Amino acid sequence: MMLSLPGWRSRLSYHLAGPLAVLLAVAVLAINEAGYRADADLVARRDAAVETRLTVGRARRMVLLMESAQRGYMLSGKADYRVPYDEARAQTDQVLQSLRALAERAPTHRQNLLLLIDATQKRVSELAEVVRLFEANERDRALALMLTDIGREQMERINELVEEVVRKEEAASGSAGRQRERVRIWTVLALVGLVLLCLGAAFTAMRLNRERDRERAGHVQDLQAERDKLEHEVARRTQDLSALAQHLQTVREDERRRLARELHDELGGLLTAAKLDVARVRKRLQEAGPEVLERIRHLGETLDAGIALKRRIIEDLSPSSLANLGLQRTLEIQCAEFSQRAEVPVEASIADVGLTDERELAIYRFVQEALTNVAKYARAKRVQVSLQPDGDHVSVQVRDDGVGFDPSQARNGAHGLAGMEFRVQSCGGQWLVQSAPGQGTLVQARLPA
Amino acid sequence: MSRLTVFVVEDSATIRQNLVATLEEMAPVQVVGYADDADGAIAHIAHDPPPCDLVILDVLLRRGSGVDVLKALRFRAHRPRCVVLTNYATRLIREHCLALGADRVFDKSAEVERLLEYCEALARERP
Repeated sequence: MMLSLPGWRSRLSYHLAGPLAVLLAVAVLAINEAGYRADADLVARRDAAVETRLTVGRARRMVLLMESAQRGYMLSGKADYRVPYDEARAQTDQVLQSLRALAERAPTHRQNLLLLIDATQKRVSELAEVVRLFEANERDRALALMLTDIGREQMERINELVEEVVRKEEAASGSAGRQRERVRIWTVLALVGLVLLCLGAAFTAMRLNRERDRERAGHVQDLQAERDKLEHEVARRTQDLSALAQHLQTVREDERRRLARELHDELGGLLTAAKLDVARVRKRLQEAGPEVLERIRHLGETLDAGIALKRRIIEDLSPSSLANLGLQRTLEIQCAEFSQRAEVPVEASIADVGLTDERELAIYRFVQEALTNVAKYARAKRVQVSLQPDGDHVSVQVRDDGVGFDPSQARNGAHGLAGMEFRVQSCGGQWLVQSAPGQGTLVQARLPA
Repeated sequence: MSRLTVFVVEDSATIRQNLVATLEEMAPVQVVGYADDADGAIAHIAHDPPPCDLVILDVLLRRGSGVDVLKALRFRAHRPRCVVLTNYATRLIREHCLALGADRVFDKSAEVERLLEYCEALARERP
């Protein structure tokens, strides 16, 4: 269930959401305020309506009281009955005043109220007139006046007017009430609208957030995938380079072996045959002159030199004794020959360990390189070479007490160290060099057996 | 003086031919056979009675080594004399071969004459 908003719409809703919300909140507040005002208005209206009714009702009551008191008085002739009449009449001014005040306050009823005032005044004066006549012993005239319709008409008029005012007032109240109801409905609608908008906005925001999170997660994943790919690539390249270096090394060794073999087979054969020929010729030439013998002798020497040279080259290229005599003997020979050439005592402590051809060659070359370095740089007085088993590994060490060097300074390319290191590591071994200026040198290799 | 019968173990044809010619010319030697690898040599030689008086062994062979032949012959009851004729006659190789029962070790280039003398001496010992 994806809420996917196309670009411009989502941007639009993102930007409008805020102002819209603010606008709607203000609208709700305004409507609320209007409602409150209408409420207050209605309450005031109601109060005014009640007061109006009371006022006009009071007027009517006063007149009615006066009327009935007057009738009673006239019927009984007793002074007791005059009291209510007087009391009622005493209120006349007050009543009229309140009516006038109401007329000022309520313009809608003004006309009616003025008529009411007029009618009330007339009625009151008519009633008073009857009483006056009655008390002046002019009963007949009083009665005649009373029996005219004037009084009744006036009373009716008053009633009508009062009813009118009351009815109008109620109508106004009703309409105010309905208006208030309308305002309330609007308020509710606006509130609901606001709530819906807020919910909608929250919903949208949630969706957008989730989408953004998803996007971000996607980015992170992409980056990780990219990084993994690069790491993989790097690992592959490293492996390729390693394999290439290994291959080159193997190729070199193979080539050396081949050269050695060819030198030995072809050249060696030729030289040896030549020497044998010399031996045979020499025997035959016993009777020849000293010059010839000298030539033959010199020829023999030349051949010897050639053979010696060939041997040195072959041994350098591919140590034959490794295959024939094994590593222990070969290393012992190597140490002995080095000791003789460099005129430095060599303590060799070589154990008889069985290894693959490749590892034996690696160790041989390791010692060869190390001894070459000793001869070239160390100016040592003593050299120790050892090959010992070490758990399921073998350890070969070449130690000298010469001038030493600073391993961190020497670039790995120097002194054939890089070659040694690579050769050892490509056999799955560990390589170690310890040296300091003036403190001799130790190179060590530890290979799996 | 009867000729000394010799078996040559040498993988280089050039050297072998030359050696055979030299031996037969310059010493009372008859070369009765040759082999160019250790197994072939052992197959020929390890018989009772041995087919020759002397075996001349090169160390580096096409397959195997002269040392293997020495080892194979070492404890046989009837074994011919064995000498090593090699290009790698270092002190330790000499010691090694002598320890394995070789009678002599000769350097192929420098000590051929000594080999010839040895063959002569051996032939003189024979009845």
